[in-house]
Amino acid sequence: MDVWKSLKSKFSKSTGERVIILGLDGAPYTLIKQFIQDGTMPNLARIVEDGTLSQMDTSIPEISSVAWTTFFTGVNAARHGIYGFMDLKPNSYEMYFPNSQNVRAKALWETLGDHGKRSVIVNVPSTYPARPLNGILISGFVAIDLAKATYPASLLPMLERVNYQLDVDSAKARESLELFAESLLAVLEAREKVLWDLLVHEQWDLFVGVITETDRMHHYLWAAIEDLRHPYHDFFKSFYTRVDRFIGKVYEWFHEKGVFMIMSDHGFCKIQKEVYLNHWLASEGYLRFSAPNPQSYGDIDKVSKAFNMDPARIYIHLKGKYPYGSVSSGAEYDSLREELKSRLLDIKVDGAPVIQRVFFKEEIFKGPFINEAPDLLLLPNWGFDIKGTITKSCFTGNSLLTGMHTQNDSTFFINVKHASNERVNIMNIAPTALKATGIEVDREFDASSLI
Amino acid sequence: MSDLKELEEKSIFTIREAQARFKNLAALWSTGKDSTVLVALARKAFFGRVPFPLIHIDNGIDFPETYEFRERLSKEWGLEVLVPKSIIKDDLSGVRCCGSNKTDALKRLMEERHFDGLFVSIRRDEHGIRGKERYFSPRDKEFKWDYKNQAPEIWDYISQTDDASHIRIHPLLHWTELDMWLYIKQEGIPVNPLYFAHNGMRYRSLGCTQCTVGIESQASTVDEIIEELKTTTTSERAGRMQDKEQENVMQRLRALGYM
Amino acid sequence: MKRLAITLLGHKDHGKSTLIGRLLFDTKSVMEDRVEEVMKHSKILGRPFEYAFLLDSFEEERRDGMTIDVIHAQVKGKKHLYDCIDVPGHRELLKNMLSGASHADAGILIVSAKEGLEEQTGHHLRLAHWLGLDSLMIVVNKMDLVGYSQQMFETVVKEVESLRKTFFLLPKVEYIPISAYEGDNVVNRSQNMGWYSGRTLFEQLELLERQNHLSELSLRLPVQDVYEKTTGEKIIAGRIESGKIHVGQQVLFVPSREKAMVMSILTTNECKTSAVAGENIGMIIDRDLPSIKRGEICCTPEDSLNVRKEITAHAILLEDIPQQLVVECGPSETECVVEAVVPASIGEVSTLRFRFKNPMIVERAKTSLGRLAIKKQGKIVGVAVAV
Repeated sequence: MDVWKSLKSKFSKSTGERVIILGLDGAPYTLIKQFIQDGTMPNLARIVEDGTLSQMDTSIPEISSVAWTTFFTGVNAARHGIYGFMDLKPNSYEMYFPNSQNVRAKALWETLGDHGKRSVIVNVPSTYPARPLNGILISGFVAIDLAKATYPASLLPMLERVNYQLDVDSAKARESLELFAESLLAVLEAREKVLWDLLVHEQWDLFVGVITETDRMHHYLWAAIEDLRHPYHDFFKSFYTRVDRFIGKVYEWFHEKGVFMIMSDHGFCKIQKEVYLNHWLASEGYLRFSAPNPQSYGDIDKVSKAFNMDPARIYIHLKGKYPYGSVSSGAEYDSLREELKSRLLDIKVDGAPVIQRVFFKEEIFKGPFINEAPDLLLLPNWGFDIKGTITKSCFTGNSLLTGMHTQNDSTFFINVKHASNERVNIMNIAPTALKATGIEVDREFDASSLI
Repeated sequence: MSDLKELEEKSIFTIREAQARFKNLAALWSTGKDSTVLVALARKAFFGRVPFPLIHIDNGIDFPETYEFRERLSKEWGLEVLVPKSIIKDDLSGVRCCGSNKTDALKRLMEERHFDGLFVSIRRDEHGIRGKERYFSPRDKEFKWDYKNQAPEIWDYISQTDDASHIRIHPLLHWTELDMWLYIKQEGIPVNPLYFAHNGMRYRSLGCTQCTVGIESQASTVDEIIEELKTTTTSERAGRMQDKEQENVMQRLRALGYM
Repeated sequence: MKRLAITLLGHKDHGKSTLIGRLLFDTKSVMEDRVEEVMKHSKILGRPFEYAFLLDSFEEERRDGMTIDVIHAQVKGKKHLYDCIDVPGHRELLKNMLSGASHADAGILIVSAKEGLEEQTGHHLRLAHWLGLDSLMIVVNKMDLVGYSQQMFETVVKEVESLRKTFFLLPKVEYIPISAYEGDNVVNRSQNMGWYSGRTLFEQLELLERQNHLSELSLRLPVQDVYEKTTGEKIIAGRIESGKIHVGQQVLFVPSREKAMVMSILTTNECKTSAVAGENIGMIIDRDLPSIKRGEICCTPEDSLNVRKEITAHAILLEDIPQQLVVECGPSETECVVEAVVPASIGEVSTLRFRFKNPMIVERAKTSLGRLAIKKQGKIVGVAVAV
C-alpha cells in the first residue's frame, strides 16, 4: 500500500484539486504499454513518467454499460442495478434496454454537485438520457437522440455546429471498412473539438471525457493490429497516435494543476471463436424453445431450466421469477448451479477450455438488487467470445467482428509516481476522484480511495 | 343531454361527493390538460371558487412554459397552489425518473398537511391498469394501490378502508383523450402551450423535461389537435419515438455483436 | 355520440374478455400500436393472438387467463360509444363484478356452446334481473368448437330459456350464435352459420336505446351539500335524480318538511331558469333554513314523499352481516336492524326487512333513492334495491 500512501500524503492537506479523467473505451493495458514502447504514443510515453500506469480489473460482465456504471457510481451492480445492455422486464420474457433512468446509485458527479462542485461529463456510456446535474453532460453509448443526450439544452447549437456525433455508425463496417475508418476519424475529430472547447472554456471541478472510437475500431479491426500485412494495420496505429496527440494537448494544458487520470473500461483481445452458449444449453437439455426458429426470449419453453443473455450471464429459469419458471429455489436451484458450473468448466473448443472461471452471483455482487443479477457469470479464456444469441443453430462460429473484451486488462493511469504491483479495480476510481476534489466522503463506495 | 354534458355531470357529482365526505382535500395539478380540466370542473362544482389547494410538485426540471402557465392561471383563477420541491435521491428503488422523486415530495406534503383525499386526473383510457381504477381509490401508508384487492364501488356508494393513508379521487376516470380536447374547446379552458406544435413537434402528454417525449405534429390549435386525434392510429402513451428509440438501441447493439 | 355502458355477464372461461377484445378489434377501437403490443405479448407467452389481451390487465390475469377485477373498454359504434365492462366470472369476485355491472345500462350474457349452462350463468342472469338492466342480449359463444352446429345452439337456447322462465318473466331476448375467437357474428356476419339469419351482436347493440324517462317523474333532488358564499348566501347543491325544477317553483324539503321558493338555479357561474334529471345544480331559495343539509330531499309540496321507518328490499350480501348495521340511501344514512324475510346464501338475492333508527327517504325507483348500501364499519358488505 506504500504507493497509495505517498499519494495520500500528497493530497491530504489539499483543499481540493481539479480532476480530469480521460476515458479510452476498450483500450487494453498491454496494447497501451506496447504503443508507449514502440513510439506509437510518444506523448503518453512522456506522461506516464509523471505517474503510474497500471493494469486494472473491470466489472463482470466486462461490457461498457456495466463497467462505466460501476466506474461512475463506485459500487457493484447489485447496488447500481445495471447488469447488461439488455435485461428482461420483471416476471416476463420481454426484453428492455436499461438506461440512465435505471441506474439506481448516485453518480460521482451527482455527489460532487451536492457539495457545490461542478462537473463536465462528455460521452460516458450509460448516462442516456442526460439527467440534470450541476454542470454539463453529453451522454455516451447507447445515446440515440442528441437533444435528450444533452444537458443543458443550450449546448445543442454548438454541438450541431461542429457536427458532433453521438457514436460511429458501426453497421457501416459491414458494408465497407473504408467508410467505417473514415467515419471513425470524423467522429473522433468532432468529439475532440467539443472536449477541448468545454475543457478550456467551462468552469469545472471534475472533467470526464470519453473516446469511444477506440472500442469501435477494436471490434472490427482488432485483427489488423496483430497482423503487420493487414491493410488497416497502419490505420490502427495512426488512430492511436492521433488519440495520443489529443492526450498530450490536454495534459500540457492541465499540467500540474490537479489530478489527471486515464482509464479504460475493459481490454481487448482477438476472437478465436464466438461461442453460442444458448445452443450448448439447448443441446444439453437445459433450454428448450417452443418455436422451431426462436426469435426472442418469449420463445423459451416452460420446461427450460436456464438461459444465457449477452455476454455470459446465465439465468436460472426460476419459478415465481418468470411466468413459466420451472426450477424451484432451494435445493433444486443450488444443485443445478453446481451442476452447470462443473459442466461449463468442461466445455472445450478445438481442445481448449472455453471458460476460465464460473462465478455464482453472490461471489461477485452484494447489494439490494442482487435478485435481478444473473445466477451464474462466466469469465471466458481470452479468444472465446461468449454470446447470448438464441437464433444460432450452431455452437461456435465467426463473424465480421475480430475483437472481444477482456476483464483483467484495462488501463489506469494517475499522475502520481510510485512503483507498486497492487491491482487496481475500476471501482477505485470514483472514491479516488472524490477524495482528490477535497470533499469529505459521506457515502459508501464498494472500494476505497487510492489516495 | 349532450355527451360532454353527461361526462361533466358525473365528474361534478364525484367532486362534490368528495367535498362532502372528506375533511381535508387537495388536488394534484401538473398544469397538463387533464388536471387543468379537473380544476376547471372544480370551479364549476363550487361556483367559481376552488375550495381546496392544488399541489404542483416541482422537481426543478419542468419546462419554463409550465412555470409560466402555472403562475398565469393561478392568478387568473385565484388558485391556492402548493409547490413542494422534490429532491433527486440516491439509491432509489425504482426507475430514476421524476416519478419516484415526486412521490416522495408528495408524501411529505400530504403528511405535513394531513390531507385525507387527493384528486388525481387519471383516465381509464390512458394506459395499463388504469382501466381498473375506481373513482374513489384508497392508498396505503406507502402510497401504494392495493389493486388486487380493491374495495367495492357499487352505484355511487363507496367503502372506507381502515389502513388507508388517504383516498385518491378520480373524477375524470370515464373521459377519453378526445373528450378532454372537445371539452377544452367547448369551455375555452386555457392549456399549457407545450401541447401546441412548435417546429413540427408537440407534446401529447406532459411530464418533466426528462420523461416527456414529443410527437411529430403540425397541430397548433385546439381544433387541429382534435382533428389529429380523430385520425391518429397510435395511443396517447404510445411514444412512437420511444419505440423507435428502442429499435435504434437494438440496431446499435447488434452492430457491435451484442444481440 | 351517446355513451352506453354494457356489462358482460356469464360463467368464467365462457369468453367475456375475448368477446370484448374481438369487439375492440373488429370495430378498430384500438390503436395499431396496442395491437402490435398484444401480438408481441401473446408471443411471449407462446400463444396465438389473444383478443382478451387487448383489454389492459394485470400480469396475473394474462398469465392465468382470468379476469380478477373489472375493466372498462371503449368500443366505437356508429350510433353509440360503448363502455364495455368486463367483470370477473368467479363467484368469489362478486364484489368486483358488482362494481362493474352496477354501472351498466345493458348486459350481454355469454354462454359457451361447448360447456353449456354453468353455475355462474344462472347466477349472473339473476343478478341482471336484480340490477334492473334495461336490456339483455344473450350470445352463445365458442360455436367454432362445436362445429357451428345449429342443434348445439338450440340446445343452449332452450336451456337458458327454461332457466330464465323459472325466475321471472322477461320480454323476448335475442339469442346470437357467435365465436368471439374466430369473429363469427360479433361484428362481421359469419360465413359458417348459414342457418342463422338474425342480427350480429354489434347490429343488435346499435339498436339499443337508453331508457331515460327520469325527467318525466316527480322531482327528487337529494341535498348533497350546502355551500356558503363569502356574502353569507347559501347554495344548496345536489343532483336531480328525477323530475324537473324551475325558478319560482315552490319546493318541499323532507324530512324537515320546510317549504321554500326557488330563487335561482346555478349550474356553473351562470343562472338557469330550469333544470332536469341528471343535472348537478346549485339552488338558492328565498329563505335561510338552517335545517337544510346533506340528506334532505327536495320535492314538490303536493308530493306525498314519506319518510320511511322500515322498508323491504332485495339484497345481495357480500359477506355474513350482523343484525345491526348502517345503511346508506343516496346522501342519507342511518343505523338499522335487519331481519331476513326470505334468506339466501351470500351472493344470492335475498329479501330483507330494514328497521331504521332514524327515518329516511327510500322509494322504489331506479335512482339513488331506491338503492341502498349496507355497511359494516364503513365497508360495503351488501347492496339492496327497495321493493
